Amino acid sequence: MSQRIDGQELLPDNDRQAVAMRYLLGTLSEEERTRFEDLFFSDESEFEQLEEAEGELIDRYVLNELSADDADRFKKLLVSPRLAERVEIARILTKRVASESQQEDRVYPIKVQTPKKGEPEPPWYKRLILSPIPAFALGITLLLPTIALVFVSMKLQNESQRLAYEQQQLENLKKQIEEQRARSSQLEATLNQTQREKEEQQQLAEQYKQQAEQPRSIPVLGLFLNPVTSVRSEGGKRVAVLTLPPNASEVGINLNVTDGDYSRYEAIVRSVDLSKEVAHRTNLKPFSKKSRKYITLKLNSKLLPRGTYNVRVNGVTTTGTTENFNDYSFQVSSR
Amino acid sequence: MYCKANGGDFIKLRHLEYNGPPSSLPNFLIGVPSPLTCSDSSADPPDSTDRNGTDEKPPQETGDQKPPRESDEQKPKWVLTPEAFEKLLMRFSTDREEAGIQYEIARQKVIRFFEWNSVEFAAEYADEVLNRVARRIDEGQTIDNLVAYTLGVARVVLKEIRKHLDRRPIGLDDAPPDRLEQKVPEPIEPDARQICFDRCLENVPVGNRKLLLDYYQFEGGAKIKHRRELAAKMGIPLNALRIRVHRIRKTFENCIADCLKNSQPRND
Repeated sequence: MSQRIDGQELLPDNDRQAVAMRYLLGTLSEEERTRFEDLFFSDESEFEQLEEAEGELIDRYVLNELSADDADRFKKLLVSPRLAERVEIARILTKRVASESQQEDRVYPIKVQTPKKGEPEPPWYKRLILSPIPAFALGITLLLPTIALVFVSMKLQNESQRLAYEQQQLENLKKQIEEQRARSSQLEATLNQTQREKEEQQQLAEQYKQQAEQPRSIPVLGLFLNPVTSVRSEGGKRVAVLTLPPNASEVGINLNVTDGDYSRYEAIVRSVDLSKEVAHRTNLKPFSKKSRKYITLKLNSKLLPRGTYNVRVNGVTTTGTTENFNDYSFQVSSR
Repeated sequence: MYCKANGGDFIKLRHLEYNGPPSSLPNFLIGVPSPLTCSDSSADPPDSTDRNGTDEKPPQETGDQKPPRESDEQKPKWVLTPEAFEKLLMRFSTDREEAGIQYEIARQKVIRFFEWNSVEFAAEYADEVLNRVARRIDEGQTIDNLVAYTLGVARVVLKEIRKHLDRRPIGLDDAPPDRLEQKVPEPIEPDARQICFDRCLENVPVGNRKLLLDYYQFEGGAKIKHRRELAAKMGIPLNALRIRVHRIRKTFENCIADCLKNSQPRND
């Protein structure tokens, strides 16, 4: 493996780390430094190599493996709290690694047992082992398979170690795939939900639109009028006012005919402002409400623009002739 | 890692919130219309010797040659707006998520650039660099290679910092033995770091933990030999082993940093 700096130098991996460390220690020439910066800014792997070299430099500093000059140069980098913290962690890691190493040494202590004087003679099988010639033969016989066994077990250990690493990597990959799947399904669910909501909103919007398009009208507005309709207000007389909302389509005017004895009435509505007849209704039957009698005059609201109106009511006699009964008056105002 | 920015959904607002050097910056930047506060006129185009094909103007060092004039002081300071930040993001990528990632990578590189040049307050200066880049984009400057341009601006800022440090008067009594003295890490309870170390080490997967502790065995020449053997045993080149261990260690150290952050009482 080698590296190209600005197309000019080819460096093997070891030298790459060396160059990175020299950059960090500030011992590269200005030109080399500029090239190196260009490189690590544009190349992710170079940046990672440089971070790795930073870690290596920290370890060497902690282990006092740097020359005095380099150690001084390195200290200048420790204005960064991050690097200073890394140094502290590296010290703990070094201690931990050392203690791990000592523990491993204690696991297999070498013990050599020698027979002591005055001890009882060992049994025949032990003597056979202790006797030089048979022991040698036995030793050789046992040694060869042992060597083979050790070799095989070492191989196995190596392989199992590799396998463990690969399994670890595989586990990590599986985990990542699972996470991605979970995320993907979550996103899908969110998307579906959003689509459903969107559809619902569209339906609602459609409904609202339809409702808005439909003319919403109030069919009948009721008004009760007495023959001489007056509302006393601060001593003056005032004509009854009918306020028509823009969506009113029809108006029902109830005329008080309690004093009349006619079985049928007719009503003529005139606009006072325009001096013209706007409606003429015949064959109006009275109805009773709370001991009073009324006739209802239904008028299309379009017939009643803003203004003052007079209603002349005639009673129809049994012979079919009409007699003037009463006049009513009202005013229309629109919102 | 991300939060909303200008109607977006993932970018950290850290950069947006930045309006100039913080009060923790050296005194020479406080109360003085420093060239590092975006009020400079033409001081921040990148390196014209850029080998990446950019067509920007060369870095100019005129921004801090003269003492600040009164008119400069009265000039309104350019502040990064959400719109300018959006434009900067769009230059990293049209895909917002990718833009956020690329922005953060660029920021990390600029921070390292300052750290590796022994500059204090590296993160603040990195934000200043990105502020200036955002400003140039906002003003409609053509930038062909954003990364190279950012590096160019970072170099200009570094020169400005050094110039100010060189000019800074230091009283004889106050002068430290070395201006760039070792930064003392935040005072942390002695046990806290060890506790976090142990806790995070437990969280490292067994295989990786074994590799981490194995990799750092021995010292000097024995260490190098041991690493070669380890790489051979794993059937990978030494450089690949280094990178693998570096990644494990980085994750491990990030865990410790997070742990320490959480273990300390918050003052804010």
